[in-house]
Amino acid sequence: MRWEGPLLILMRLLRAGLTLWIVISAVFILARVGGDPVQYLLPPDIAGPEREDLRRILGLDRSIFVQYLIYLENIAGGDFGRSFFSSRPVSDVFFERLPATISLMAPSLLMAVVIGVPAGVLAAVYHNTVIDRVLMALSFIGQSMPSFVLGIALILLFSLMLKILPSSGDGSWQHYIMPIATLSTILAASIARLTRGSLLDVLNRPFITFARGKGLPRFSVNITHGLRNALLPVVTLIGMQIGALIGGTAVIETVFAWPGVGRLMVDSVIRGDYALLQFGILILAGTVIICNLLVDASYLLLDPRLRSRGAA
Amino acid sequence: MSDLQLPPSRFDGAVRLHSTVHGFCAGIARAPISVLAACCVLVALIAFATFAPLLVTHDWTQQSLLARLSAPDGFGLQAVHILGTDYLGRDVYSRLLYATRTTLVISGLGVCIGVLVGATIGLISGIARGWIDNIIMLIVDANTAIPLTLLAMAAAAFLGSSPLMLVLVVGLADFGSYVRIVRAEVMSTNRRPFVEAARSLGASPVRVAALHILPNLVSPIIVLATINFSHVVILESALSFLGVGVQPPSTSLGQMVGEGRNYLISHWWLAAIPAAVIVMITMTISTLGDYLRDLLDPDQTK
Repeated sequence: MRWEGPLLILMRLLRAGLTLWIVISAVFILARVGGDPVQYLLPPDIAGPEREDLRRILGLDRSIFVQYLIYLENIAGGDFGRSFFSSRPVSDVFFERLPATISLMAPSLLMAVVIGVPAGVLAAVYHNTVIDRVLMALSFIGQSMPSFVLGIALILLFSLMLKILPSSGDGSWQHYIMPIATLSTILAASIARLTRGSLLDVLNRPFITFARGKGLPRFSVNITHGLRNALLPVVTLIGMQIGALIGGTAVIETVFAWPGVGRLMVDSVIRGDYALLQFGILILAGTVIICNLLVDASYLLLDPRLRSRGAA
Repeated sequence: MSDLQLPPSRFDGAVRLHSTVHGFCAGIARAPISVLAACCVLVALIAFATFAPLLVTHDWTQQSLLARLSAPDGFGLQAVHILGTDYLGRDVYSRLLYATRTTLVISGLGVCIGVLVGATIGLISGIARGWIDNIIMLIVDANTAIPLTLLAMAAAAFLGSSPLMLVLVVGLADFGSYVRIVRAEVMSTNRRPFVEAARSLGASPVRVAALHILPNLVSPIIVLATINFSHVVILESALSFLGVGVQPPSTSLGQMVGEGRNYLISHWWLAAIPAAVIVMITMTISTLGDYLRDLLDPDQTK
């Protein structure tokens, strides 16, 4: 039916909106159930009346349900509140740190794809050979290594022993090398594994045997016919891993003292800056949801069969 | 998927469970050397963690500011501190044993709770279908939308990082992935002939779920739990490393790495030793997980 496609897209958008609403509500409830932010903000020797004043200023003296409605109303009006810590609008505090994080994430994602996909293809094409074994062993190590362990190992090797790279901060281009290497290694490892598995599945299908039988060159069989059909799950994985990458920046930015949003989130957890933390989670979760929508949309580009069926 | 076209019997579930356990034991006997090595390392780590109170050379909380940051002595007769001391003069070897214990206990309990809750919700979602399924999947979507580390960090901050809360946080932070996998597994089992046969014989939904579907979920859940165990170890270590997980005076491997990080220039081993133990745990468990997946769950093998 003609209207099926647009309706599905509309349903998909509605679902994304509902998901975001659940995220907002869940984080709000979690934050309010947890405890009293005032105890983080004031030294323990401040007397009761001052505490009550601060509570009133922050709007914490009203019932949780009223607070929730006010919070939703403010969000709808674009007001996300002020940081408990610096009392500046949370969006200002957050967005001034965002470029630093994007300048890490974008190259990391690119590197992970540029390394992961070819490594997976090599491993699949040379299935059960030394190349396959070595690549899969590397990917196995990459996947079992916590990012902070890898980061510290790199600092030990390149900053302290070889003394060729700076260990922390964001001054020059050399500062980018180790954080990007750490972030991309772990993602590249899982991309390589999945590409290999997915390509191996495809290479066993009849149309590949047919292409080989037709006498097509190996490259053409493996890449044009094979890889193109194997990419769908890989794209899904990359979309899903955006969230993991964002979470990973919290750890990596702490290891390398990088002034991005990841470290900002860790700091606001430690300082009890709930307003900032809520805003950060909201924006980052929103990013993940939008990325997943884009991944769904990219299926249509990658797989013409879905286009004619009108299903996303 | 290959279905055995046997008539359904009331022992169907039991037979399947038995064959799973049997296959498991037979598989271990024929396991490749890497898997056997992983088993040995894991058993050793668990033994070290279990018998930590007997194996320590010092009280693990005992500070000694005069003997701070001493280098490892090794295992010689004169050895006082086998792995040296940390910035408060505490014995690193004894702390390492207790840290391994904390990490394994928190992660282990976390995985149990995650599997229990996730599998139950996944089972309900897969069997009930309809609006219940829709609502559950919306919540799962919301769960997966929040980056895992961030969610666990925020939850630990909001709910406090008492050991019990930490177990719940690391166990349930990723409950969505358990729900997804179990739900998919339930839906595919639900369509298989022996389940339909049981249903057409008049078995109640609860009976079908408990006797026919659940036994078939045992192997995927074992695989899932094993693979997720290493994820949970990484998550717990990351949280403790960042200072929002296990709090002093307790200690965990991630926390030891975090403390050692401040002394990288002069005393690199303070961070490297616990980090090596973390990698040892995750690598052995991942080896086992991959092997079990190939063994018990051939459909999912990539």
